[in-house]
Amino acid sequence: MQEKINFINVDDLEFYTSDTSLLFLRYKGEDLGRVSIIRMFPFKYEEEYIVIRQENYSRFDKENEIGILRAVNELPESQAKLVFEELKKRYFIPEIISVSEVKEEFGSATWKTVTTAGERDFTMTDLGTNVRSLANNKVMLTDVYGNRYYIPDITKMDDKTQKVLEIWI
Amino acid sequence: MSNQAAIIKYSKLAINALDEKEILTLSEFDLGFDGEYCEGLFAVSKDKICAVTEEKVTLIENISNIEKVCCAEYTGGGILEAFCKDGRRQIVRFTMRYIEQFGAIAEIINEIIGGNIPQINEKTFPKEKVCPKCGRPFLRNTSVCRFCTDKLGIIKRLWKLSKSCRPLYAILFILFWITSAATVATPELSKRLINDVLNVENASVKTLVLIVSLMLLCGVVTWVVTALRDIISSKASNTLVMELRNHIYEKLQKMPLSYIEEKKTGDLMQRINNDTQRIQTFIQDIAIMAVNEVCLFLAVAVITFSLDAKMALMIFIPMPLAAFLVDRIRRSIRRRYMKQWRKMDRLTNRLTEVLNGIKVVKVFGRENDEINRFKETAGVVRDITCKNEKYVYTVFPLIKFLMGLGGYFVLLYGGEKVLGGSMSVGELVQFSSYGSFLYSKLEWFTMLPRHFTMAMVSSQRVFEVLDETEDKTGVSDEHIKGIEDKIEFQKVSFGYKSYRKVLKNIDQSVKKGEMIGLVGHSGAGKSTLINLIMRLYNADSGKILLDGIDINDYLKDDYKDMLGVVLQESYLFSGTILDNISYSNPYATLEECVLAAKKANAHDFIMSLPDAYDTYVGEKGHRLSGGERQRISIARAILSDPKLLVLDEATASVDTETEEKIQNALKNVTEGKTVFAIAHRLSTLKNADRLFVLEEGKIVETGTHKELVEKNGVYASLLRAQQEMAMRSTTIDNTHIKKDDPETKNFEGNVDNEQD
Repeated sequence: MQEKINFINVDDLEFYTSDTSLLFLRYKGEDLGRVSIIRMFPFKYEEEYIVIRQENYSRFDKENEIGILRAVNELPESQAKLVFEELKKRYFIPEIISVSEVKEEFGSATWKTVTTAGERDFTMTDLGTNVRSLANNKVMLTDVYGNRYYIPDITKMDDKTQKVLEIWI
Repeated sequence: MSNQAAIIKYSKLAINALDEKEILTLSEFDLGFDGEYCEGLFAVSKDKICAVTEEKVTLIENISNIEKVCCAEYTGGGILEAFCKDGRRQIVRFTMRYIEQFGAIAEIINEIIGGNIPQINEKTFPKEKVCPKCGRPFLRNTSVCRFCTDKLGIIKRLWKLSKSCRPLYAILFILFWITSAATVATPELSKRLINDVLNVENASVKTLVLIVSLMLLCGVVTWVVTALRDIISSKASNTLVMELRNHIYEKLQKMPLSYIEEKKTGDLMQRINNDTQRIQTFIQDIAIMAVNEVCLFLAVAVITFSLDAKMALMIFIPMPLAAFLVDRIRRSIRRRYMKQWRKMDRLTNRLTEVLNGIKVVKVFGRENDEINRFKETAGVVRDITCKNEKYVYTVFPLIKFLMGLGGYFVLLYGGEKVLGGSMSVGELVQFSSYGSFLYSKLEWFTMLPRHFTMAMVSSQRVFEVLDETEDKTGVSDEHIKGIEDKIEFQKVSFGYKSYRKVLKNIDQSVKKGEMIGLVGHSGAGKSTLINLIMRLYNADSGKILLDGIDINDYLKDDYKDMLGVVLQESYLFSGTILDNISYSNPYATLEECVLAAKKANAHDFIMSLPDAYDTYVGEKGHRLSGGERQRISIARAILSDPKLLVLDEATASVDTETEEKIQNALKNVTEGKTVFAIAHRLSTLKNADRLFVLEEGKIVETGTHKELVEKNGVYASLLRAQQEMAMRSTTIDNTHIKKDDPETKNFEGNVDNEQD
């Protein structure tokens, strides 16, 4: 019953999509159907250490992990593209491009922003827990609903934004 | 979608597309499959679903073509997926804002597929928690918008609450005017002293004595009355806060468990302790004073203008600028200090954490790393503190300077007048005193808005709790006499989140005196089922009936009286063992308590403790072993002679030998009672009359141990897995483990994991 970390040989993988862009997988020639791909370290590695799981609605079936993909870039370009597409769907974390207004009152912050997914206004509370600073000046914000927003470099944001966030970083 | 008109427009498009007058349910959504935000509306009718995006119908599908839908939750959003007859399809994508709605929608569509037209109400279809007025989401699971609350309303409520303190407020008001009169009189007396005594040749000593005596009197009156005023105001505000605290605490005790679990303990404690404290400070130091201070300020302002309007203007003209600057400086100081407190907080938290986990630090030899980490954080705190203090020491004198700014103009202008003979020295001194008085008040006034906002937020947080709906206390007048008949579960469904059902359609009935064992993997819904039986949560749909009556309709006290509970974590409060046993029934006699302890096999070990039943237990009390605590909690559970007993992993945290003792104790107490028991070790449930095997929220098998073993289904496989594991751990126990053998180490690790 010894557990091993199973890094997948990329040659064994063959991803394909349906017409509604669901991700399927043939693994070692066998069709496994719909698969999910999950980042092991979502804050550290976005394209490395990706777990591939055969989709299974039972939470208790331990056998559904197919293995770990060391890096998406190990895949041939067309295959990597499919995985990136799926990752984008699974992790919807728009990047904040600019902040037009940020207001802090009653212990909550309301933002008017432009993100990579379009314009977005959102509200945050509990800034102590919902502003998470990552390495290299990256900052992750979580709004009241649990949506994530990503600031790639806080030092490049406008003064007001930095002022609101600096306390919590 | 930002406005109501757009929703109506989209709904009309949906109605047209659905070819149906009646839409069963609908929800907005906000994300397209291209990963861009969008405006969209998703609607469901009896036989079709449709999505309208950017004013176009983008999807229409017959429900008859769908076998199942599910709502998948991803990071930052989710997708509604349909298993159609011609393959799987993603129907609609949304951010986390709409996840609850689509969870509910998925349930509704599945119901329709199953042939039912579901009843849609608030419970099955959660409304988005957004303030209808400003569109901002409600904060922290409340239904009150902090941005739109009527401030006047809050003040009115505080005023209402302070009913018992009002006579004290009246006294305070009078006392304040006495001190104010003394304050205003002092500069007048100074003027008289200078003009009538000091500046007059051959002035009479009598006048001097009179004026000085009056000044002394003013001083004494100010001292005595101020002391009296502060004592009374402290009494008034403390009384009000006590009442507020009692109100919240009472409310919290009556709230459903789900509410308390949704909020963090820290948050609730903050509301009871800090927020009420803040309200007290506001009322005591600010509100009561503010009314009077404003009046006094105006009075002095009128006096100065009547004395010399031009000179008074010199005092007032720089005021707005000074107030603005002071406010700005104060804001920046506050921001800096907040940053400092945060860093300090981190240091304290780390310290608490490491001290609590010091064993782990030592065992893994990480002392030096911890020292370095602490040093680093302490360094950051020092740097930021030094920086802040440097700032404060520079700007605070600046504030003082700004506040005295008007004084210089007064001196310049007034001095010229004195030299010109149009004003006496006494008048100048008097005027200048009034000037400093006005500025000192101005400094105080600049703090008002902040204190006011803080107090309003705190009051709001307190009222939020007070305004929540309480736990259902029962509508039936019927008193329970015992389980005459049976407990029935009628299509019970429940989820802690509406879009993730933990129990699905539980349909079973249990006879009086039956012992039911609940088994299944962790997360299968066993604990949730007993939470519903214990009435800690209410079923989302379906009913639990006791003797044909919904358990929620029984009077709460009646229901809890007949319920005995032994939980895995036997929580003992600080107090004696006797206190803890009698917690379930404070009216029990000593004999009854001892009898309960005996039945629970606890009497013998209690008697071996030096203080026997009076042994102090709890956080700082005598350390009892897990098994001992468990037996005390069994005694507590049976003291009230419950008819219905719930055992939630009662023997999970003890070793096999202790388990046997507890098992014996349980055997004593379960006889003749209806019992619901969960046990990790399946062997403990062998004696149960029936086992309910749960899997993913459904009861998949029922029967006796023997029947289920013969059936060779889910239960049998669970049992086999556990037996295999037990055998393995015995093998490990018997063979000496070689530490450096990686195989064995790994093996051992696995077993541990499994037991978790």
